[in-house]
Amino acid sequence: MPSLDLMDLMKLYAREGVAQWNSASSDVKRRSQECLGTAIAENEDEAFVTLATIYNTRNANRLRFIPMPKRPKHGIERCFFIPVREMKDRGEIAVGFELFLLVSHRNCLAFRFEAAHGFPSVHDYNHVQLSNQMLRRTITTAVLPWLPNRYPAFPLSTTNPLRVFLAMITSIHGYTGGVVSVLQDIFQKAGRSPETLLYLDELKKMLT
Amino acid sequence: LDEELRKLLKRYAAEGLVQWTEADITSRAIARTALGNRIAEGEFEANRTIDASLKGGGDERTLFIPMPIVNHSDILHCFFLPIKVQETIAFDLVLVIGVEQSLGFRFEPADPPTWTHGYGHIQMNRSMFGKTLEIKGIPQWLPDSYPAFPMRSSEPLQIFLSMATSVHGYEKGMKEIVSQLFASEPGPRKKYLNALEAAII
Repeated sequence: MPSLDLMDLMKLYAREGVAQWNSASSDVKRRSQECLGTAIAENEDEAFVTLATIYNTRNANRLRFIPMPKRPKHGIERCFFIPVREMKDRGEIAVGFELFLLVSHRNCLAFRFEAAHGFPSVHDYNHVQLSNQMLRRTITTAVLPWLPNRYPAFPLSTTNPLRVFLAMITSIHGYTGGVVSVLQDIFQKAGRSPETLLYLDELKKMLT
Repeated sequence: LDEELRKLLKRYAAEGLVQWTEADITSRAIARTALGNRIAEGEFEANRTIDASLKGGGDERTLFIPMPIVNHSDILHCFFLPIKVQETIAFDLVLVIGVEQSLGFRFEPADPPTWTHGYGHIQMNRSMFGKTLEIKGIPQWLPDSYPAFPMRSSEPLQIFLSMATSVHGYEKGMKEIVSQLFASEPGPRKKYLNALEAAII
């Protein structure tokens, strides 16, 4: 009986993103590389290594930005993500996400989806905020240096890692005709269409 | 609910105005230039904007309302504006970061469920108040449809509390602000703090 599985979902999603990335123009690839200032997952193996890596500040070179499927076709040229899985004090794994957008030309934006900071603090809630140096400041991007990277910190609608991932991809694709279509597409290509419903239900519960 | 929201907005705006008035002249000048002087400089103007915005229909005297200067390091001034759209309320948020450096966001309730933005969301914005107010310093290449980050709710009170928390933080930010705004009114204080917790945690 299939059940919700973040890693499985990310693999299907990454597979589609990499496939579409492979047919991107050389101009888009060059600008993405220049703006990101770090490696992009150019194939499934590199994407899956990234997904499987537990980040410990010394292994950032194992993490590559994973291309996301391009939908809708306008507005933002390309999007990339990295799941940042980290081992915490009690052995549990916390999951955050880095999101990078190549908007146009060499104009880009970056966001990070973070779990709540320690209590009491100002960011003691799950949130998404702008970013300009990614992966704990180890990657310097071409994002405008004056963009604020502590505030605003938008409250996320969820604390569950799977839902945070769904929130991130919904923010890029939209809902109806967007993430719904992407999910249908990736499960259909995997020959597992019936499983789409599991994730669509989860998405619906989260968004309504 | 409308009255609960109105009361909170006016109390919050009053505190924002006090701090705006006390802010240094240079930062206020930068903000006034960015917003083309469309800033509520006193309670009467702020309250008129809030009443007109919640009523709907638009008002050419609409002004951006200064937010309290609590936390939001790296940002000089924040301003908000409620906007009634049919039977729902959205909020515009303007951040003035420096000279010719501004950002705008829109906190929107869900569009109809069959639309791509059929969920409460936050998106970047290049022009405010239904695209009628231009802000200087917002890069024109910024995308204004995507990303559209999901919010927990499309209820106006929760949208406002999410927006305010995004610039002040929670435990040592918006929670303290709400407590101070209603320090002598335990009933409303508890009610707003409960609503805040429901919106954020």
